[in-house]
Amino acid sequence: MTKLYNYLTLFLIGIYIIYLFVINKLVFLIHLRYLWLTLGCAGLIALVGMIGSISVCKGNYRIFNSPKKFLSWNFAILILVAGMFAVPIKSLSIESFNLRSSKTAINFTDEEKKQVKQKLGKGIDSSTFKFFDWINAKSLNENGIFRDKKFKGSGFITAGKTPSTFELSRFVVSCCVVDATPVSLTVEYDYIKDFKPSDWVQIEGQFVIKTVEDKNQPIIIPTSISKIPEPDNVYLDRT
Amino acid sequence: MNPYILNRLSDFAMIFIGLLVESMPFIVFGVAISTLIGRYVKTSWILKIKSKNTLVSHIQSMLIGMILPVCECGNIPLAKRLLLMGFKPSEVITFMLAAPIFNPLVLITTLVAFNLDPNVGFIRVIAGGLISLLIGLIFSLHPVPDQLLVSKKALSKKSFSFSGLSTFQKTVDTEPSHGIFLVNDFREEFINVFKMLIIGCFLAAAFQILIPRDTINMFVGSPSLSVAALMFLAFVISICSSVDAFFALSFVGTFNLGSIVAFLVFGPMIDIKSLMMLKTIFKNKTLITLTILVALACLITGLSVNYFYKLNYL
Repeated sequence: MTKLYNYLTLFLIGIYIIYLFVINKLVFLIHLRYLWLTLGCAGLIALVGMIGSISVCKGNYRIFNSPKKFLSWNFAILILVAGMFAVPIKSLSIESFNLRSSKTAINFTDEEKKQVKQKLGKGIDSSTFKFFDWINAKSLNENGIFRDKKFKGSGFITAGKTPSTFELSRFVVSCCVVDATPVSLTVEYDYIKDFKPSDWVQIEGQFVIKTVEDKNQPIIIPTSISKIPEPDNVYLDRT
Repeated sequence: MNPYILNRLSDFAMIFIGLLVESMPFIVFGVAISTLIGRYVKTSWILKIKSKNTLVSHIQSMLIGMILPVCECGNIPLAKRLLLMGFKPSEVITFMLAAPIFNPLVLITTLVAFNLDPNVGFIRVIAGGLISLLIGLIFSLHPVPDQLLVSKKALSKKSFSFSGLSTFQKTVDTEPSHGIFLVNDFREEFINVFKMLIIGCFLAAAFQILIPRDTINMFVGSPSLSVAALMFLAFVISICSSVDAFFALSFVGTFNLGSIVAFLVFGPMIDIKSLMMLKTIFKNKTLITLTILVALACLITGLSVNYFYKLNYL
């Protein structure tokens, strides 16, 4: 019975990972870089589990007649893996965002900083910039480069530092959900009551430099803001 | 139920499943290599190459990580296999501690993450190598090395001894190598590690949910406590050594170089997830001693780096 439980566990883990991929939720847990590697391994263990289960069951009906060995740790593991199918896969909550928000924000390499500075200097349409580019640009601590630049991007809402602002936020991952690090851009919006924290929004607007909490910083003034469903890939790529 | 608690539970589940799924390829890889080695590599070949000199054999164990490139999850089944092939427990400890740092992929990601700055990568490799060697040599002084391990029965259902050729391997060497044996070996090895992985991921997820990241930042100002704080974070977060450099990058500018080096050296060697999996090989007493020794060595490394770099970095 132990062997059968073990093989079924292997089979279920493999199938679970493939299932997450099929329902487009695997990217909620791991970095895209690992996607194919993880899927390959999932296929392998599902295959090993299937071959093993068949070979154990083949012509060996006695294993189903041993109630004494029915409950065991191996059975508990099998149930746990089966139970994972019932867990709804979501992005990390706003509570995790707040708990992870700290002074240790994302740091950028000199090369990354140089690249974003060049991009901004070249006068490329800044509305094509990715969210991560803006976070990178913010790390330069040169507010001037933001002035009048167009912004287009999406994220979820977290509390702002003043009543008329909110933070447009995202998580950045290097490896998997474990290392998800919060990043955000400040948005000034008078009708903030239209939205609630953790709502996903798409924003188009322009950067201005304003003083918030005695500090000059780039702030997005939206020209349009609309609520959107949670995207397929909720995390930003660090690498 | 209170939405706050519901969200925290959901985050716990996501971190738990995320850790489990993220570790899976590396464990499968490690178990597969271990299974293949167990079936096709003869113990006599290994023993012929392995030096009889304690220092040289530990250096050899340290360098195996470069040939068998696995991270800290994948090297546990391999460590077990090396034991079964006649490696001494202390040599296996050196291998386990060094392999996740000597892995070529880890070296590359460290260099890339730190902007090809050779300082961090260099210090990581040198410190990792020295610590793994030193700790392996300390454990080699144990009068009865077998006492460091779990019972032989638990380690392998087939009998073996650490002196000379293992009887386990003798049996394997003479068995026909049918696919189904490979599948069975894979299952046994995988499930053994998987059970402990579940507990490790559970604890790592719980710690991450219960301890806010800002707690770590309380120690930024202190040169010594900051080293300890990032080591604690590395222990709790259980992130794979192949990408931890990118995560460590987020501490540059806030934490000193010594803390970052300590994070990069301690994390791959000891964390909650791998510690739980190591319980399939070593006794609790060995693991406690190992954790204390590694922690002390990493703390000293971090403090020394801070001293020499005068707390300045970037």
